[in-house]
Amino acid sequence: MNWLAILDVAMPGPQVTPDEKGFAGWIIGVIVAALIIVTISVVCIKKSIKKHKEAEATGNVQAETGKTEEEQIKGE
Amino acid sequence: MIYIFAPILAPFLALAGTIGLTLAIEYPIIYCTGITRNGRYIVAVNALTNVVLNAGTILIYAISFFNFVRSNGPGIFMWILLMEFAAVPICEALLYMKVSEASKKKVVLVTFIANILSFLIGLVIVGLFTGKGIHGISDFFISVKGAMRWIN
Repeated sequence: MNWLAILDVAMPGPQVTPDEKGFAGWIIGVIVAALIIVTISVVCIKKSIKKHKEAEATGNVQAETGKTEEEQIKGE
Repeated sequence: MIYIFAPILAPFLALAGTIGLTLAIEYPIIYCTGITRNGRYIVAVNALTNVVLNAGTILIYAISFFNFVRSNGPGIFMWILLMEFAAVPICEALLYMKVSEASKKKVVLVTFIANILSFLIGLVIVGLFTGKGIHGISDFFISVKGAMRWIN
């Protein structure tokens, strides 16, 4: 079953064209995709800021790259 | 199968494409000017601001598509202008300041330049898709002028 069939319930009536239903489905997809990307980004930003603050407090030279000393050595 | 994947994959690819284009322009500028060398942080900041900008644009377009208002073409132009020239660079600059060792002035200046460059190149790319090429830039600002008149 096409999951967009749920829009038949959400958008009843003959005035809604298949084009509009397709676009509505796409909009739902955009909202879901945006929420997932925003969540991942916020987590990454918070982690990086936390790492930076920790590195700054300990005087770690890796503060600029956001990598731990171990990661830095591995990369090199 | 296509009915299941198309509505899920298409928005992901659309958003990922715009993030990729923005990063192609902004990443080297931010990295090379020494604002931060944390690549993951640059990607995350750009992804966050870009998704908010583009998802917002799509949602504003949807409002007019479903006839909730008479026409909100000007609304889209205002949203893009406000985001590209104010909200996005300010948010990005504030986020970069949290991890940058560079001066605040430099962070703000570099972020603004990077964003305006990516906005102009984005307009050219949209212009190529619509057959207007580099004239896409002037067309956008002519539309904004029209939008201002519409608001007045």
